[in-house]
Amino acid sequence: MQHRISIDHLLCRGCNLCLEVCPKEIFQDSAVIGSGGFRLKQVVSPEKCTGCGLCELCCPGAISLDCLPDEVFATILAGRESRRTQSQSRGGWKEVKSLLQPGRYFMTGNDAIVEAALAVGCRFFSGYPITPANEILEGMARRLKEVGGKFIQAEDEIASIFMVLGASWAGLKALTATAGPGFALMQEGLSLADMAEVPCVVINVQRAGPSTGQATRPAAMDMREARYGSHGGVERIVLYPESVQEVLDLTIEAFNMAERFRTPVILLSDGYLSHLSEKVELSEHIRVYDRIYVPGKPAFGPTPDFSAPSMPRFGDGENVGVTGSTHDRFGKRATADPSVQESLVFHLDRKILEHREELTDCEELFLEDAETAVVAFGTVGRSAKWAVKEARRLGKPVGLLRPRIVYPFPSLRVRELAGAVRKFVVPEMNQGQMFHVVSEKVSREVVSLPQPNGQIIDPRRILRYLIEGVW
Amino acid sequence: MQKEIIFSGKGGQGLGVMGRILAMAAVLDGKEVASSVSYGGEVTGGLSQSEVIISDEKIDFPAVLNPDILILLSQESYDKFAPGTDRKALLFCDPSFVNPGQTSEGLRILWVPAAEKAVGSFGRNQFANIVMLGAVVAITQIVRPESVIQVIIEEFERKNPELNEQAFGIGLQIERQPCDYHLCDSANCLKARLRSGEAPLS
Repeated sequence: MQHRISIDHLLCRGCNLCLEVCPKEIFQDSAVIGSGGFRLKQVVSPEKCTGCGLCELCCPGAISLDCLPDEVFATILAGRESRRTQSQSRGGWKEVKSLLQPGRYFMTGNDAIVEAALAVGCRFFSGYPITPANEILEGMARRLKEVGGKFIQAEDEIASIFMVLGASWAGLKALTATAGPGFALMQEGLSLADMAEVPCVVINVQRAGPSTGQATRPAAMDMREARYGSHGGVERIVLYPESVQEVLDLTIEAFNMAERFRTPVILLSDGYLSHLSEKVELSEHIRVYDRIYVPGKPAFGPTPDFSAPSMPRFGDGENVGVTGSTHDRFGKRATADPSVQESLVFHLDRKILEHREELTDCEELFLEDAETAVVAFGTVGRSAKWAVKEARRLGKPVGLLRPRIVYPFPSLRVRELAGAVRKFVVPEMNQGQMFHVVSEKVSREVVSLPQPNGQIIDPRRILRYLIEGVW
Repeated sequence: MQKEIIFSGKGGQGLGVMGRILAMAAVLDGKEVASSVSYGGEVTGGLSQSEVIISDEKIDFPAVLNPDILILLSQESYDKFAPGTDRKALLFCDPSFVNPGQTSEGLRILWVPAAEKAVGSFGRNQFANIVMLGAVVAITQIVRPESVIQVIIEEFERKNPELNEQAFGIGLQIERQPCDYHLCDSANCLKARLRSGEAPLS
């Protein structure tokens, strides 16, 4: 098998990196001196090339290693299969015992995240302290030591997220937690997590912004950033619980989704929910999903059925490149091939969108005969629920839709509702971010009830709107 | 039944601990509980508060809207909460911190000399909050006193559980003691009326 290495002599800068990095010493100086005044490089023994791609990776632009056609893949696959007969497939659903005694607990939203993460098998945390997410970092620092995990306080949020990605490739379930300003820094790493299909969970405890804003006050000002903040803008799974019990349940869900779809999952919380203490029930057994690994299978998409590809970890013996650049199914860079780029991006979107039905999880209240539907997320859902129940008591035909999974947005359910209700109302602890998302899905009247004042919304204010139409 | 309780006073008086103990005792009783404490750098020494909601059913909105029981441990907190409070609410005030001369008419105030009792028994008012909690639990019967003692022993084991338990006992007895406190109008004693069922708890 031969790989086609081509060197564009016009682009060669004579840096000799190819000579340095090639493990098979394929490159050599030729006798010809080019226009730059240095010896041009040549390939002396192309038959030794294994296709590792290091030359292309290190070269500032002159070397290109041709992307392999499918029949060559088959040959590679065959070779790898035989090499990995000793490794075993792993992953899938399993049931584990809870670390804590099952029963009733009284804990804060932040503590619930820690306990849920440990229960589901998270053994790596890297983060940088930020109000109001501090207790997650503190809890992880204390508890990971007890269960044999690894905790690192990084120098900043950028380092935190990249350590999380590294830990994930090392085979661990990894978590980081931050608030708005830190979440903005993490966007770069999240984009890499999208591209390299790295399962991880990021907690964003939202506080009133922009920037440092009101650090101790709750808000829901990152509702759009969580989905659209990263470059590339592929589909993201974003969850937003309303109570401490749900924080616990959805954190477990978040890890399972991250592992199943091999994607970063964002769990939103806020400055109120993080410090709210409530009663939670912990069950004895927890359903946990571990990422699938099948020896020799390609580690990246596209997959024919839009499932998550097999994910090896360091040490499994796979020859896999992990890169943020466009890559083929073995992780080899293909930064100029339009078809590889397109199929990869569609794969990243569709591996989530194809499971859209399963990824719709809404709490619904009185929607059967409602004329007005209140759409609320997370903590605001509690205010809305109170207001909707009171309004019903007063005879108003209102209902509540509260998506626990914010993205992928439950468009189908909302469109279905639009056929039955006259009006949608979206109360929010921001300037009306989800209002836009709801409006673009339906052709009904959608009303925004914004409250960006760093306070949770007083349910009586929503009630007043539902009764008198005044905000 | 849903009860909304506010503990308010100065940062450092142990309001958070009172709220936490009460909430955990309610969890032991099998109730639904939501509780939050004021949060932020500005609360130390300033106005601080802790909220607890105890309910038999799932709690829709987790913050206090109309408090049924208020424990006010500073003049500032009294001035903040008393004017807007529902006339049916029970107010627990410590005469060492709230000036009885400045209280408004028509409120159902129970004067609990918690700081005085704490100083009398322990020589310092460090346990005043637990004494007050004892009085609140005895009078309102919102949680079982045994649950509170269990919380004090199990969850606060490194924080002097014996003395705290003793302080809680002193608080519990305030309910049973004859109301000889000089602030109380003995002919129309609220504590006696609550005890006899003549006055409703809320």
